Amino acid sequence: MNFNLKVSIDLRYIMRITLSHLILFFVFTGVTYASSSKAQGVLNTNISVNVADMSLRDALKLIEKTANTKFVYSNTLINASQKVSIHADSEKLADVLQKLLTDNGIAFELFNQQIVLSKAKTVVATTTEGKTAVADVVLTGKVTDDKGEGLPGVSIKVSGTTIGTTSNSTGNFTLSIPADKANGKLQFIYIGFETQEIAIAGKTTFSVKLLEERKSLSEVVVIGYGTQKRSNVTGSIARLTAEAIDERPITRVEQALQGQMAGVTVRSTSGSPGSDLVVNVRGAASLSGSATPLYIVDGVPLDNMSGINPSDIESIDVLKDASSAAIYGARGSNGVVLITTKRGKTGKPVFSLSAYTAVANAERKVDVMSSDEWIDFNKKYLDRLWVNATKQSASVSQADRIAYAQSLAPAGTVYQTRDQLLTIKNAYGIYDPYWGTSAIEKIDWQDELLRSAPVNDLQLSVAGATDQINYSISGGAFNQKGIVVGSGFNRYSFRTNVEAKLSDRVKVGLSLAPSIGTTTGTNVDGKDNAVSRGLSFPGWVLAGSGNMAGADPYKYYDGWGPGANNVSPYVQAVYNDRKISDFRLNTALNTTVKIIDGLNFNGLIGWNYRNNSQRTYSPTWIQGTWNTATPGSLSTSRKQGTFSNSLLYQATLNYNKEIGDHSIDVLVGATQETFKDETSDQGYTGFPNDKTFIFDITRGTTINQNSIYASSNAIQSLFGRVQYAYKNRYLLSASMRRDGSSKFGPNNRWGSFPAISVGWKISEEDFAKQLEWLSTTKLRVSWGQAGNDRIGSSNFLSNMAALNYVFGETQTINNGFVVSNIANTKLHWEKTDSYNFGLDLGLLKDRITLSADLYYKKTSDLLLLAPVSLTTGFSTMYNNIGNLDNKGFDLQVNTVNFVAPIKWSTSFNISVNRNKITSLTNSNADIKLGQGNTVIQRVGYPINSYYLLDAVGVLRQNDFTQDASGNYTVPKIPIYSGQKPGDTKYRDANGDGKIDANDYVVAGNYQPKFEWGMTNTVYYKNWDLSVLVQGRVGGDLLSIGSRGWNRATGDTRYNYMESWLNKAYWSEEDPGDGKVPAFFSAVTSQYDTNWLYSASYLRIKNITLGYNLPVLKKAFNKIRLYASCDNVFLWDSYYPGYSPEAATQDNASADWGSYPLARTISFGLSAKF
Amino acid sequence: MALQSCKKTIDIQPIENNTSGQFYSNEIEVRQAANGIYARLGRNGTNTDFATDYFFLASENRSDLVYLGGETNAQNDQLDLRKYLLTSNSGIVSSIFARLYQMIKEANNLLYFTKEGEYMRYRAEAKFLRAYAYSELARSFGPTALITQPIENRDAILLPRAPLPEIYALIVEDLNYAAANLQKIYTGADAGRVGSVAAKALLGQVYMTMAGYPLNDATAYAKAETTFSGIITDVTARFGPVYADLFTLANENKYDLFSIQFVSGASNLGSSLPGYITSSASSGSPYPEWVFNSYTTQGQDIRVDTLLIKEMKLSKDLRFKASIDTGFYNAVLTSSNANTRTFVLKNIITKFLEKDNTNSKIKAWNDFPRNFPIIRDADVYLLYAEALIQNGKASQAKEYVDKIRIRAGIGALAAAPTMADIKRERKFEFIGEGRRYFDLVRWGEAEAISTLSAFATHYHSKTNGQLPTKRDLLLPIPQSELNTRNNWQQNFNY
Repeated sequence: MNFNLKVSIDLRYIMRITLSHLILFFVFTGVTYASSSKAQGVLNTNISVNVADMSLRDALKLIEKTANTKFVYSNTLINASQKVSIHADSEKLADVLQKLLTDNGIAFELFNQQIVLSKAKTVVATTTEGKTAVADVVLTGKVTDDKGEGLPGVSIKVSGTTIGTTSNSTGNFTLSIPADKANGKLQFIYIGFETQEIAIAGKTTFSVKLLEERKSLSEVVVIGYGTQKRSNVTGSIARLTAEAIDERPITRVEQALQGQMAGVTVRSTSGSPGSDLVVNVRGAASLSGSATPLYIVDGVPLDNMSGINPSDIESIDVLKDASSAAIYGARGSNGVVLITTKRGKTGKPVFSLSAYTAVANAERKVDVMSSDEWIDFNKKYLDRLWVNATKQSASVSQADRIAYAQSLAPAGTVYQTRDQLLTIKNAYGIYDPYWGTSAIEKIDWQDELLRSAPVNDLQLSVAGATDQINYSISGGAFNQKGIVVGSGFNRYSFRTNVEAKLSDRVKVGLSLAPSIGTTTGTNVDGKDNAVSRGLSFPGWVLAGSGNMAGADPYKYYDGWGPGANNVSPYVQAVYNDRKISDFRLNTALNTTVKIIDGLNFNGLIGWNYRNNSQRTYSPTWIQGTWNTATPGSLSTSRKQGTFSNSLLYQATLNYNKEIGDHSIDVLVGATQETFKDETSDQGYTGFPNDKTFIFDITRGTTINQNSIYASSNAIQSLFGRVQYAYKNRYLLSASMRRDGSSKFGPNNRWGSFPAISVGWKISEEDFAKQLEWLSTTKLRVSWGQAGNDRIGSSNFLSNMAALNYVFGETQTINNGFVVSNIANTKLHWEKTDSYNFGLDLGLLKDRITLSADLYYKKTSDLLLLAPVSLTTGFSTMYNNIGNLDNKGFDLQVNTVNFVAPIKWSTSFNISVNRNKITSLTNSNADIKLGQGNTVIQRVGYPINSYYLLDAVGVLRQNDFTQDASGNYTVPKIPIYSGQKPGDTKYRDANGDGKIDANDYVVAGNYQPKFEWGMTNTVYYKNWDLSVLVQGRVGGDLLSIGSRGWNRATGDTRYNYMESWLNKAYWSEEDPGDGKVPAFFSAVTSQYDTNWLYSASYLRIKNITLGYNLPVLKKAFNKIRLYASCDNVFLWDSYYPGYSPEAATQDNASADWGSYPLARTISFGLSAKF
Repeated sequence: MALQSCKKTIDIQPIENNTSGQFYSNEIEVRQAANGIYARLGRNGTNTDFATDYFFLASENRSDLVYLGGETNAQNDQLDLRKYLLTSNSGIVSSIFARLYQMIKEANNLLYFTKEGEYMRYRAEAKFLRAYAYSELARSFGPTALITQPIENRDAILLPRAPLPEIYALIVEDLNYAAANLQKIYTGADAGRVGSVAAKALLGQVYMTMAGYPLNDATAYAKAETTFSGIITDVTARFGPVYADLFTLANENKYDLFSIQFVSGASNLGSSLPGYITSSASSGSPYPEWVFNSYTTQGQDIRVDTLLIKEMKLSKDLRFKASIDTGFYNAVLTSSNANTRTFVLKNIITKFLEKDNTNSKIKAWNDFPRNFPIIRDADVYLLYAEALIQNGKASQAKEYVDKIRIRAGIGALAAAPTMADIKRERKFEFIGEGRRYFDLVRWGEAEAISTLSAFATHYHSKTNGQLPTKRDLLLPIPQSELNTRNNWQQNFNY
């Protein structure tokens, strides 16, 4: 990282308005800014009037109509009956009014889009009415921005009084004040700019340059049930705005967060189109597997982000510590992600168009043996079998081997045909007669499976607002083909956010967001699926079958190959029909009522509906045994549906008031959320023909699935919060929530979740204000409690489950019921206590901002399906089983390295988290899970640690002594029973002189030492370039898929990692690299650290180059073209899979042939007009 | 009012409306609950049934009947059992232990939620099945917790390992209760449900187990003899005349007294046992002439002792062909492949394999229809004969041993049977049925260890196992169970 910390910073550059400032300015202060600019527009409107001897009242009415504006004046001050004449032909309204009013001693100013008339004070002083004839001092001046442009609408007032005015369209102002106030100070207030105070001190003319307000001061963040100025936040909240989302192509909301926020880790575990990303906020605070944060979209909780169109998002705020998340009580302990969608901004409609087209390719291939290497490998292996069996030389020819076998064969046995030779393949090391002939052909399964895949995205929206209505309507179409053949995803989404102002007091809004996402393609991740098969099938097929090998009319490469009944992974991926369609309708109805000034009521009804259906069909002709089946007989068709809806009622009352130095904001609220879902599942096998997937009771022979299920749960909550600030300097926030959940028994249903936090804005202190180099600086301390109730619906009760049995001479199925789970009336909330100590620091006028947080999260009463004594008749029950600690450190640094002519800024974040299980019930007994029990929960170690034998090398002959028959079988060092030279050497962890199940150790875990991300953004003239680099250091990934293609199975029919040919132990003379054991190892079924690989990596995640077209500025507000590349480059040492992020199996801690990540190159444009 | 409606909103009962407190309310439900106890012996919602886990993998697989032809598969648990490398972390052992206590739990619930005097038949069945579960726990795990009503975890973990005599006392009491409240045999739609003959037969077997190692209860042989003599007429009425017919689909529930019931084509109600007869390709059909093509095999390459094969072939024992195949063709015979298809030589147990390659009703490797007998005619005959011999009445025993031998086609004995004759007949009679290992243990520590060691020495030179020791006469208490409590000692030397 290269911070530019040259002290010779030119202050002029600092004050320059940057693009990011502008965008933020629009985002956060849009309404006000837009209103003044609109009013400005009114004054600049050209009008034509022709009035002679008309009353001022009528003249103004005429102008109101013509210019579409409104005049406000008091009849007691303004003599509206006076006759006026004016002639203007297409003149600026400002000029017209100047003539019409100013000359008549009437001043006008813009206020709230209306033109307010008043008596011109300068005139007052000289009029005959003259009550204050002598007293007033007239001050004049001009307010400009740092470029010298006049700022209209700046509020100018005398400190501590109500005397004031506003600057006019050119930034000029005139203000007359009583003489006794002339020793006071003048305040210049303008939204988006820093307030300035200037002592009047006898001066009468002022030239004031306002500085644009520093971003951090004006920035507003979304907090639970409201918003707050970032500068007053006392919890720990990370924020991402539309800026970061819009500028590069993003398919999923979570993708925008990756590498961007300290403490928020996002992993793309699978490259599968439409798949979910794994998001963790400050480590996992739950063992139950659901450590994902709570997502709230516009106030309504949502289970999953897949239906949300990233371009609809205005901002994403992540509540990281419990003091901010505790307001979400029961569900806040894994952090809360608040998503705000776009609203219209006052002004004429803004049309936006953004589109990109991209092409994706696999980031890399896995280094398995090539076609030729596989034959070399087989020959090497067969030669060894020959040598071992006959004690003859490996150089004995195939013909001689066959002759030798023939000489020993029982009478009548002939070894001639390929099938006959196959029977002596292993006994005499016989090669496949097909090798080197045209009977078989080469194929690279990874090449067959992976492809260049197009991605297209189109987004259209229109947004705007008038006094009465605020609207934003958008539609998006996203279409992605997967880089694995047969897979794809598309999403069509609409969103309408409309808010109507019914009166000064009542606003009603409605959001409607339907979306439909369609995923196609069969499962490619995981055991026995296409990726795993693609890696473990050798690169040979029978000539002519190509990638259709195994499907009708081809059979698979048999004998020396995997067997006739196998099917090509390509066929598996392409012809297994699968379609998941996910329809979602997210709606929210919102009412805000202003009861009195500062007191607002808000009512929200949120309704989310989801209909997810999955259809799969596997025809007979692609089954390996198609040749022995009649068409349709092996076909399988299945449809699963989930229908769910959730309904949220929410009412909040908010009061805020400033009294002198005290500012207070009080919130109370209540919510109720109900959730219902119904699922159905039907499956059939055995169809009359292979024509269709459609089935009914008359078409099909075997019912595989036929079930209907339903469940429901509900949660009720009461909550309140007080935020208090003294002198805008000392901040306090306290909140409390009570949640009642149907998931727990009547006595433990309700939980309380308090939080308190304090902040001290050091930079507001007088001593700090004198420090030139110090800008926004704040200390924050917080504590809070949040919970987690994400378990099934009725686990506190003992339920009966069906378990049928057969009786009777005719084998009739009898219904049976068993007690399926143990009642746990004591089941209660999982709670997380979180302590946070934070520092926000701004240096050099916020050119460098830094936000650092130290935290400690202690989760207690973890909910887990925990082991119980088997003597109860149960093996597990949902229980509150233990405690877990997460400690860590988040650091976010943003710097502006150059301002002009190149603007270069850097944003860097680093997340350090240490996770440890501190206690488990049942005397801290381990809990094991996963394939081969390779994942362990053990006190003192991070969750989901790996439990493996520690491989320390390869056993050699000198580790053994020879037995009587000359074999090296008598070990000198501890071995696993039966091991021989060439087997993996294990560490005798318990020192008992032998290796067995008791030597399994906690060998590592997936959690990194730290994760980091850095974005560099450079703007030069119309160009912009951003580079996101991100990575992790430390942590291991268990390649459990190695069980298939990275293990000494002794079965050479399949394909393996290249290392088994080149780096493995073959003999004492050819011992390999000392790490990879012999493929003929005697003991091969243990799980050891040979499959544990470093999961550290460094990735250039994204590079985007953009260009703002200047020529079109007249027609368009903005038009930007960009080129972007995702997953540009990866440095890592994870070898047996596609990505070190691919922890998809076994509690998301191991990899089994995960879908490769894509390197995507896209070209896009975004335009506003 | 508002508060009341609030409470209602979050007071949600499961939609199935099926909590255990609401069940057992009428005859139909009690009957269904009784069915549930039986169902624990079946697939139990998992891939394997009780017969596979217990009688085959943990018993037959550790005996001197089968050996490993090679380690073809990373199923460590199976390897460890065969090679006497068993640790308390074995998943198979844990699932056996769990399943037996599941049966006990279902039975305890039924007995707890019904009253003495009502639903007596189902209460009797529950007691039978509870006794059965405890009898297997006692002979495989030694002393364990004695639980006779529904129990919560916090209470269960305080219970000690009850001494064997206490457990046997409950078993005897339960079986006597069952025998007193059931008809002799159930047929028709109720075929497969236990009757009093089965209860007595199990009681007799329990006495025989008590008489042997490790309890060596001297009074038990006499009790066994009395018990068997009370049912021998009923058993004789059910004696199957042809050995090969005993295990066929057509004759199910005709000859046996208590067997695990299986059916194919339904949802998880088939048998997984044939899936373990030998290891082969994990896809496709390894025995095209025998099974429909959706079949795949599991497990290790488990083969039958070649000496046993020789001996049975030599004596032309009819039980041989009914229990064992010595190989199979790798393809169905067609006009073109007569010369190219090959015969794969492997001695494998096919006793429970439904050989019908047109049977597409069998959906998977664990969906076979043949029942697995836990107690059948020969159990009663041979145990009764053994009890008579032990009680000095060998001449009375001859009748029963001869009937078994004649059915096997090897002719009657010339003289009164000895224990050696009993041991020989039991070995051949029950191949694949998982009796052998428990017999060896019952007949004494020294004999068991020497017999198993001799066998292991012969075969394990290829598979590198350990030799069995005294500890192998019991299974270990699952580590997961010990982890939940701190008041149990692990079994000897585990």
